[in-house]
Amino acid sequence: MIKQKNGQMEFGWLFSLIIGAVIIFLAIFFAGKIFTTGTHLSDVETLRTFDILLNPFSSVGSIASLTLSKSIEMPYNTELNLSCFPSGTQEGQRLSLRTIDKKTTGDWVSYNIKNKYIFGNTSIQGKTFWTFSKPFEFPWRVDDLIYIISENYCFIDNGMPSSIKKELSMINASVIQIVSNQDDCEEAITVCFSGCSGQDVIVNYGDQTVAKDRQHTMIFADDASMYAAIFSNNQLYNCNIQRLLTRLQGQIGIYKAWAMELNREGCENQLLIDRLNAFNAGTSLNPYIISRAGSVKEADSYNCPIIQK
Amino acid sequence: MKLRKLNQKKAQMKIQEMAFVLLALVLLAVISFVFFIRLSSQKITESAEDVKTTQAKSLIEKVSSLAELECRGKALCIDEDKAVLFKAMPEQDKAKLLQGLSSVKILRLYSPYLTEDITTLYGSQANSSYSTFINTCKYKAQGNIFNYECGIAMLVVGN
Repeated sequence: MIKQKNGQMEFGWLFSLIIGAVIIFLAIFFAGKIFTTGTHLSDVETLRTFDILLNPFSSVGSIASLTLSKSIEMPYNTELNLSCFPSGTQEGQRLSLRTIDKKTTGDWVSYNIKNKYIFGNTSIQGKTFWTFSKPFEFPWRVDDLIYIISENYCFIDNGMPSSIKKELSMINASVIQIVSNQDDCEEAITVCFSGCSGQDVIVNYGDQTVAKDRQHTMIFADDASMYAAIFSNNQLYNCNIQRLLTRLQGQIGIYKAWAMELNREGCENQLLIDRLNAFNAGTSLNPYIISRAGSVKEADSYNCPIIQK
Repeated sequence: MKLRKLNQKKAQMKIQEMAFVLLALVLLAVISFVFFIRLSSQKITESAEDVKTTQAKSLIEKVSSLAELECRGKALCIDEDKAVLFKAMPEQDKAKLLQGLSSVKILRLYSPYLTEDITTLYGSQANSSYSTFINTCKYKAQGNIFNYECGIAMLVVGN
C-alpha cells in the first residue's frame, strides 16, 4: 500500500516536472521569437524611413545644382549594403540593413528601390551616414544622383578644378577634407587630381576618368558622375550608370516628340531633332556617347530651348 | 476491496483534476497568444500605414521634379506637353518612376489655354490621397521666342 502511494507520488512529481519544463521552454521560446520579431520590425521601419529620408535628395536637382550634405543618424550602429540590378524585372537597387549591437547582430532586412540612384561603397557601416545629391546632366537632367558616405575622404587640392573645390567646401560634410598636402590626410581615402602617386583615387578631369586602387578605371560624363565614381565601387557605379542610361533612352523619346511638337508650332529646332534621332544612350559611358550628348546639348535651339535651363 | 475501489476513484479524480488544470493553462496561453498577436498585428498595420503616408507626402515634390514631367528651369511645375507624352508611357515604366504611389492626378484650377486631358497621369484608385498646388505650363510661341504660359493645378497623389 505504501509502495503504491510512493509510486503515485513519483508519477505526480515527474508529470509536474515535465509539464513545468514544457511551459518554461515554450515561454522562453516565444519570448525569444517576440524579441527577434520586434528587432526585425524595427529594422524594417528604419530601412523604410531611411528610404523616405532620401526622397528630398532625389528631387532637389530641378532647382539646385548641388544639395548641402546632411547626416542621417541611425538609432544603432548599422551596416548598410547596396546592391544593384541593371535590367530585368528586378531592375533597381536593393538596400539591405542590419543593426550591429555590441551584444547582437540582427538579421538583414531588404527593400528594393527603383526610383533612386544611390552611390556609395557596397557595404557601409556606422551610426552616421553623410548624404548629398547632385543632378546628372547628360545632356539634360536625367535624375539626381544620391551619395551616401561614412568613411573619411581626403581631397588633395593640387590641380583640383576650382568649381569642384567650391562645391566640396560648400557641402560642408565632416567626412570630406580638402588639404594642400597629402601628409595632412589622417586615416582617410585619398583623392588626387594632379601629380598623383599612390593615392587611393586618381581623377583625370581632362580625360574624364577616375582610377581606383590601381585596378578599375571608370569613365564619367559630368561632375555628378565624377563624384559617383569617387564615392562608389566599380560594380555599383557601372550598374547605376546602366540604369541611368536606360532611363535616358526613354527620355530621348519624350524629348524627341516634344521637340517635334514645338517644331510644328514654329520652333527652329530641326538640328536638335536630327541629333536626337541619331542619339542612342547605350549601356555604358564612353567617349563616343559623351560627345553625342554634347552635340545634342549644342543643338538646343536659341529661340525655344528645351535642354538648357 | 472497497478501499481499493475508493483509492482508484481518488486517483482518477486526481488525474482528471490535473487534466482540467492543464486544459485551463493551455486555454489561457492560447487566449493570451491570440490577444498578443492581434495587438501586434494592429501595431504593424498602423506603422505600415504611417510609413506609406510619409512616403506619399515626401514623394509629391518628386513627381513634379521628374525629368519626364518637369518644366524647363521651373520648380513645382509640370510641362503640359511632357505630361501628355508621360501619360502614354507603359504603366510598368511609370510604376518604376513613381514607386510608393498608386495614383497621380492633375486637377486643373485655372488654365489660360486649351489642352489635352492629363487628369489621370498614373494609376486609378488610392486608399488615401495628398495634394499640393503646382503650375501647369505650356511652351508657346510669343513672337519669335518661346515662353511658358502657365495655369494653376492641384497635384494629387495617392497611396
